[in-house]
Amino acid sequence: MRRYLFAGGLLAAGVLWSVPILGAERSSFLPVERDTLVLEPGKSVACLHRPNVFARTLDLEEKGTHLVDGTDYILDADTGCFTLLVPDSVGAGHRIVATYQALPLTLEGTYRLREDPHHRQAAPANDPSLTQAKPIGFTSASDVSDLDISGSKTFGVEMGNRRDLKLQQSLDLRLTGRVSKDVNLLAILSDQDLPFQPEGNTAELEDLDRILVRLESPRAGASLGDVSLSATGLSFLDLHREVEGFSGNASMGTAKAQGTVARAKGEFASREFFGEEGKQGPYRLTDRTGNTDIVVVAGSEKVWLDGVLQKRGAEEDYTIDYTLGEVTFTSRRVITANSTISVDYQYATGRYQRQIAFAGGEGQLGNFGTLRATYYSEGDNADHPVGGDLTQSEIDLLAAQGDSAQVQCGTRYVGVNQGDYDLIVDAKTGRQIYAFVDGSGDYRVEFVDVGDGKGEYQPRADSTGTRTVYIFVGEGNGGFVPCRDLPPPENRHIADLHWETSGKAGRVLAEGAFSKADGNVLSALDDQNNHGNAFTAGGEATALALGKGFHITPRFNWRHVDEAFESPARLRSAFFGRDWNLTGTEEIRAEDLAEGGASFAFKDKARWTSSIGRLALADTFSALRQEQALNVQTRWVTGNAAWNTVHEDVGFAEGRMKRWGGEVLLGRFRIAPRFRGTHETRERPAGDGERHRDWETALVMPAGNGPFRAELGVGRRLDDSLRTGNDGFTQVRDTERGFGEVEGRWRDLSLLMRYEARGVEVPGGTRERRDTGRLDARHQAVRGAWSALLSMDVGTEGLRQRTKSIVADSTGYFDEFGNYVGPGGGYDVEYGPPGNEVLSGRVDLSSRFRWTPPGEDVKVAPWLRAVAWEAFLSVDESSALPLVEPRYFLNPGSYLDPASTLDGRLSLRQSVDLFPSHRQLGFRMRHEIRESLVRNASAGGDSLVEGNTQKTFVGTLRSNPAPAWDAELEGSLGHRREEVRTSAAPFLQDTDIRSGTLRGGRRLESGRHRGRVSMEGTYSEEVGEGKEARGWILRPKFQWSVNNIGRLEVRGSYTDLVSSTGFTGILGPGASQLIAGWRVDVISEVRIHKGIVVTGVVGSDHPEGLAAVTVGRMEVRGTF
Amino acid sequence: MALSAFLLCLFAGTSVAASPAAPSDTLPTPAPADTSLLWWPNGPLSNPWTPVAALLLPTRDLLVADKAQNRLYLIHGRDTAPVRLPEPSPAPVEWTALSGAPGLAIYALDGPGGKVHQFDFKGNYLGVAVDFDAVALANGLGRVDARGLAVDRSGRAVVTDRQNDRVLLFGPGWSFLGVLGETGSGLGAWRRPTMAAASEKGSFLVVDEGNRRVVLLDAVGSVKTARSTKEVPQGVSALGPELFAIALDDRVDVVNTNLELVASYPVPAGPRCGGASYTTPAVTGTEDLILVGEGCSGRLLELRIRGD
Repeated sequence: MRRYLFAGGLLAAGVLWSVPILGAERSSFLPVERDTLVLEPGKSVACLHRPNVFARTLDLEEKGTHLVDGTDYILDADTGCFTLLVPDSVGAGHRIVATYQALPLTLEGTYRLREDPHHRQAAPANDPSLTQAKPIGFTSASDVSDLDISGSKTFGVEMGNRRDLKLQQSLDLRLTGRVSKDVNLLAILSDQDLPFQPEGNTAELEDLDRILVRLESPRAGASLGDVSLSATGLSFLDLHREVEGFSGNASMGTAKAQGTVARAKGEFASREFFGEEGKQGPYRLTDRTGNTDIVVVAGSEKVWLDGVLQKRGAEEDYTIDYTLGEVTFTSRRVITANSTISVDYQYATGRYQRQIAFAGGEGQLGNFGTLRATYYSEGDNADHPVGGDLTQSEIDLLAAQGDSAQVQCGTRYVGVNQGDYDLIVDAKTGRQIYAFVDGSGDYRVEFVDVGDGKGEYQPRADSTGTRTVYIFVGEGNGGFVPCRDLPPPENRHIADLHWETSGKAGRVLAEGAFSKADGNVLSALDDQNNHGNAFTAGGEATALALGKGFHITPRFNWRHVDEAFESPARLRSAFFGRDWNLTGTEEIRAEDLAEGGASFAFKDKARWTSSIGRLALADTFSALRQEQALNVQTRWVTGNAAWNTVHEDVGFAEGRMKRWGGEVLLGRFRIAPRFRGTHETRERPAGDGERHRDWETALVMPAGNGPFRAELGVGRRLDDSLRTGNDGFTQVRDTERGFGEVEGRWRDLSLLMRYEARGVEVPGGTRERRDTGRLDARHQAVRGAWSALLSMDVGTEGLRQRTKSIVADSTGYFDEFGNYVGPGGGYDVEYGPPGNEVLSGRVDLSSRFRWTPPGEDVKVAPWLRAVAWEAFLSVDESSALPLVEPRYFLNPGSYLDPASTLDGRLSLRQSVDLFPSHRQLGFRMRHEIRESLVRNASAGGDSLVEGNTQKTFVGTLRSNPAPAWDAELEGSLGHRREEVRTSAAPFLQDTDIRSGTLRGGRRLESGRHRGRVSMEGTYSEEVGEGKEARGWILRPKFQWSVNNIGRLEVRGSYTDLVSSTGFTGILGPGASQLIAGWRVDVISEVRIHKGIVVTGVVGSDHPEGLAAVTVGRMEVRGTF
Repeated sequence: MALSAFLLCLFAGTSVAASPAAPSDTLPTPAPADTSLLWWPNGPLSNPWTPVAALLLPTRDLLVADKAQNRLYLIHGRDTAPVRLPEPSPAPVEWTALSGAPGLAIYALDGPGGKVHQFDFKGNYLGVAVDFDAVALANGLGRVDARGLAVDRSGRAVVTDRQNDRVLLFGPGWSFLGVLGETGSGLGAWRRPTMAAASEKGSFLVVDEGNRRVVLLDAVGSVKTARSTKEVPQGVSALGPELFAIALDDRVDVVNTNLELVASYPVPAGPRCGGASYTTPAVTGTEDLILVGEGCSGRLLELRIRGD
């Protein structure tokens, strides 16, 4: 890595410093600076605006006279300052115009006054406060230079009577701005020793970014940290990578250069597969071995559907879950069994650190076109495998195998007391050692023989004499080592040369690439096939006029790809093979492709394209293909039609493909009819094949004819199959569909409504519905004071459920409803592995409504100003019914139906404020419903169905009888129902929840001093069948602060919550006395300097019957 | 549910007539003096946003929380398509505020969920920074209705609790430091505090929606001053170390650290909205430019101030 960084630095330095070497006279690559300098009377020294001046480029002119170096002035080129030798005869000073060239990077700051741009804005005429606005003055670094330096530093110490001393610190340093006239800098250095709770497996804490440096200028740029590497426009090296490292680029006139040295965030992969009928997703991505347990590098994916690049986004074409590696298509793209899906992506690899080096340059060859050279290297660092260095014995093991080496072992963590070995760490050496503990360990370990004296374990017979176990005997004293998965480290190099020229006659290009790919750099075996090459050439002539509006445009394309050629990028379009009567998912190697054709156009109204081509693969396959395509665009008709055939030759067998189809839109009418149809027949040399017939017709109201764009249509597709040995096609699927779409905006209402109803029938089966839809309606008014949203998604998705059982266990930590309640819960929860994917109907519904009284200048009914309202409803429902019918998703009563729901959640929340702006009196109501229903898959017997419903209503009365006094009374009523059903008698628990709170306080204010004394008392109870808990809490509080100096807060609480035995509600597991005791917290903050604040916190907790806990923390925080 | 339906019917008849907007596809261009106007994103949106929060990153990328679809988007440039950030978990979230964080991180507040989630500058999800339910349980705070979030460079944070009329104060590392204020109208008391902003100098500006004012807290959490507004303040943001922006109904006011008005910029109507423009709580920027959400068009308006 360091080597690459060093090389990258040299590259960047070379690019930057190559400029002055070229500049003995004025260089065409550098800008000519022009400064006007005024020297006051009596002064003879002046400085140009840039240092590092090329002396021979400097021209000083005063009143039309050019000054002479050495005679009229002396220049210090490094600083850019010169001393005038011309006397100031009249005592009026000098006004000199200097033109020169200098190094493009100037690292010295330029200091100048900075005007606050906001002061230029005229104030509203009726706003008197603006006249009092004061200039900001020189109070920050940004006022005197363009480079902002800011940050913070904290130190903290935490201690307590039952814990050790703990130190914490953090640093945040940030530099932003311009370091010279053209160079912008952004540098962030972060060192956060602060804990936070990671979720999922998205990132390891130690891998988080700590540094980011970005330097930009019009001619060059450099980045350190997370960078994107991309090279586009090449046939054999069309790259895009998200990497961590250094990247630099520079441009000088028509020449450009780019270089990157970095560590890859993941390994590149490309997958092509067919969709499943009616399943929008999720479609799981895999690593190279087919393992689905991968994490996809965020933003690295490209998705094609039926050859069209898709956009990510819920409102676009697809969404992706990076942590699970799952792609799901939106209702805009309906997935069928014939949909071709192709995905390029990077996934986090658990093999080796992978290093990347990239260099590229591009230059103009005068009239001979453009030449572009690119080099890319990607390789595993065998010295840094993930999970620990390779031992010599492991290196020998890999070296003895070739490129296909794959050492897989069963050494795994298998759970507590599930294995025969424990992993212990030698206190002296830190070495990890597997110790045999016979059935009471956490690891299963396999050992591999590496030869006497090369290992560290020796075999022994166990105490029964029936098994062989391995004992650690020290490095070099044994003949065995623990076996672990050893993927071979690999590397790949590719160099590409691309030439292209274009002129009046047309455009011609040629490209060649050479690759070297070693599947195991530790082994010399199998290295004879590491080198490969690929070439391509193409051209297209400028349209030739044939007279009477006719034009002809000939073109050709040729490509040869060696069998051993390896590229880290996609070489062919998605499902390339489908165009040649292949399946499209096969790996294509040793390719020879030749294509040629011509387009005949008539006045931009019609274009006929005719082409013919031949594809040969490794002397085993060849195919001839012809295609005729017609495009028409007139006032009346817009349409296209295509016909193509493929004749395939594989040894003694032949195959063929025929495809024809077209689409016509009669656009003369306000509501335009549209027709589309395709017919495709494939017969493969093996005797199998398929046939598709698809037609669709629709009425289209295009955008521009009204506020909405709309389309309504029907279609049908028939899929037939030809089996080997049969003479005719037999039907395998009949799909009928009807669809409608409305999208647009009218006044403040925007609407998107799309629905496609699909019925799929297979011979011998019933017709199944696979519907997709989306509804999105929004309304906003009264300057946003009112806003409403209703959105709904309908689709069919794959769902993987886990089996779950709640089993009685006296030492369990769960209650009978599966809630974690701590020791003594009486039950345990057992989960099974994720089950097979099943298609399930899915509905997502959400709605939000909000009303807030707007400003006085907005006209609304006066009584509306006395109300503020906010509501939120969300339903997320997966149904066991693959059929998603309108009556189902439009009827909320059918949601969370135990008969069909697999996983459903409903959440409703609304609050209403009465008199929201009234100062003396206010009333607030809050209403919440949370409901969930989960049907857990069962491995054998009945499924476990869990239901939970909680409803709460809270009313709060608030009052400020006087500005200094406040009081509040709050009452809450709620009900919770928990239910668990199995084949046995169901568990059922109903609980009523009630609470009341009274709080009040008095404010104290005097000059810069402010304070408040307050008290709060709460009584609450939960009562269920045979279970109950009740209690009260008192909370006194005192606050005092002095503006800009500090504040003090003392708060206490006294709690007495009591429950009868067996209650397992929100208060905790069953215990006769849950919580009782008192607690005091003291918080103080003092500002000891302009940017330095000291914070002290002390908390003392005295639970009844338990030892007291006291914790204190002191922290110093400085910002600059 | 019934209450929702009732009020929905109630408002349906009264709210439509407020802003008759003439449909128009053209981007409005007349700019106030000394500013230029740009719309984010530049290309067409298949669904208009309701930007509820925005955050301009040091890398000049823009993070937007969209309330309409409840999603986070990262925009690498005005002309590039917004990139949707991954959802933190299968559980639904509702983004209500965004804030910078120490180092190369961003905080996003899921107010109803009571959690602050953390992302990096590239939009990668890093985890949960703090769970307010756990904080409330440990400190006897009851239910927290977190609405606004502001974090300064040292990690000191202010979280507004809208339903309970109070402001929660946290130290670096989300150590709980106390509760500021109660229901009321005096200085230091709140009525529905909503959005908040942190300056680089460690002070915080908080919107007190019910009292129609913004309140400035100094670096130790005590109230320094307040500024009353005629309209309901929608959102606030720090503009560098010395200035704050306040999004009001149809304009953005710029104030200094004494909350004195420095400049005022009208927010023109967005695409297809005629004259019916209004700001959303999404406001962010620097000394030289201000980005503010425009609710009617569902986009962000960039006010580029022609300074030096």
